[in-house]
Amino acid sequence: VTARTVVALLLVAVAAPPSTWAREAGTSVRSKHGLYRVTVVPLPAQSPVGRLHTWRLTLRKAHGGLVSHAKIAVDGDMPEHGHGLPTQPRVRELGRGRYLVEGMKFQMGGAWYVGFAIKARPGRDVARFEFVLPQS
Amino acid sequence: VRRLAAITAVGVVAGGLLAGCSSEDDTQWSPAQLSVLRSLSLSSLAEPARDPSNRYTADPDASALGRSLFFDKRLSANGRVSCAACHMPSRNFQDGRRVARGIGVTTRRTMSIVGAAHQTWLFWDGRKDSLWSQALVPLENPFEHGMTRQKVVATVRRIYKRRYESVFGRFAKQSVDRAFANVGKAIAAFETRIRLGPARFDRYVSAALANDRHAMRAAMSEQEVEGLELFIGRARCVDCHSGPLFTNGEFHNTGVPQTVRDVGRLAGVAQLRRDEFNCLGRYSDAKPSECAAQFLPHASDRLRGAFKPPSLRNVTRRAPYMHAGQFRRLGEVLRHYNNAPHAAVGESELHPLHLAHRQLAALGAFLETLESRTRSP
Repeated sequence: VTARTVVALLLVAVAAPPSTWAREAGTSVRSKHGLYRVTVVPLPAQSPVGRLHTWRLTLRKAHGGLVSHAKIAVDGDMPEHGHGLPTQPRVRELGRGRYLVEGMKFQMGGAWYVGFAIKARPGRDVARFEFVLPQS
Repeated sequence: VRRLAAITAVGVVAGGLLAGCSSEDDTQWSPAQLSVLRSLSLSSLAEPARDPSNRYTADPDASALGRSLFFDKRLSANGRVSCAACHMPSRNFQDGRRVARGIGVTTRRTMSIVGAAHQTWLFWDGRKDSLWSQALVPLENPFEHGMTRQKVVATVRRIYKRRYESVFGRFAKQSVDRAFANVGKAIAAFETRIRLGPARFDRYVSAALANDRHAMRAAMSEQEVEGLELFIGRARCVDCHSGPLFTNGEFHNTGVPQTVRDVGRLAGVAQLRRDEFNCLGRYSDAKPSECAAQFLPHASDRLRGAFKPPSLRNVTRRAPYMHAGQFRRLGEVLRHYNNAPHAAVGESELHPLHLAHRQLAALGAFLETLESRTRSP
């Protein structure tokens, strides 16, 4: 093991924690009844607690094709607290299965879920992302 | 050089792993804890506060006029109530009363306006989304100043015509509502200049970030540090009391006792949505894309009985506590959070903390480190 490898491994170890929530939240999920695959990328990557920010969302059919003209409603909550999101986010279509979720905000760190209720040509379904936000 | 880099990196990681362990003498903060401490420090507050809905926020003449209006009792129906009657400069811009008193008696506790310029939502229920539109409400409340906007504008026109017109233009060309909004904008320009000074806690965080153990011990006692550890740890106070003002500025149901049935934020969102003086309205200087109100949540049961956590800076100097002054002492507040009773209105978000008496005392001691001076023009 060279010194360079050690440095590289250590840097990965040190760099990993801040982006944990974004990776958790950013993974693709299959919708509850399997109609869609939803991918979200929260922007920015640092803790978004207390900040209005935007998520990028990509909507695909279960087996690949991008889904346009979907109506998507957003909800979120901390199951331990029950106060919900402090905002009512809006979804704006960019075209070719891509959407922007504007007005995202989380009022505190901890365990959250964000759910999307999707209505498009393949049918109605819901997708849910669960993640833990650091306080700062 | 590579070896040196490797040794340095090992040192950084080892430091990170060791941090978080407490010795009897000194608290070792982990990198995650230090990050939280930094976020709570006054140096994290972006001054001056911006408000895109008030283009006069930084105008010194608007602020000087606002200062005069703030202290002027002639802006009340009985000539005895000014903004300063409840927002007393000598009392950290609050009044120390259970509920506010002007011409009559209200149902809510006066909030301190120190730091209010940094808030997205104003009042306990967030029914206002700017400091200037907040300032208009007490003027027309029959229990506070007891004026009408027509009377306010006529009074300002009679007494402050020259100063008003040098900032906002001629009265003759303005509707009463426009001139009334401008009165609020002048008062807000003054209030935005009220600044918090650093507290012992802020000196402690600076020392902790520099790992200056001597300065850390000089800034806070062992008991106060224990309280801080609980505050950002097991007691989870920081969930809501976050950021440099120790409030997340949003709304939470903490099941406080209710003297008058009050649904808090549930009514607040409905009032804000139809408010002619909100950020999206014609009297605002902001683009709609700059307004938090564009993402206002729908009224739902989740908002029932939710109130805004107030700033904890100088909290020890502003008893009684909660939106209607329900608790006389800070100790009662801490016991309430420790016990987490069911809410009388809506659902409480709290869970019992099971803290010992000694730990509650440490939390109380920590809150004293948030005392600081306030500077105002």
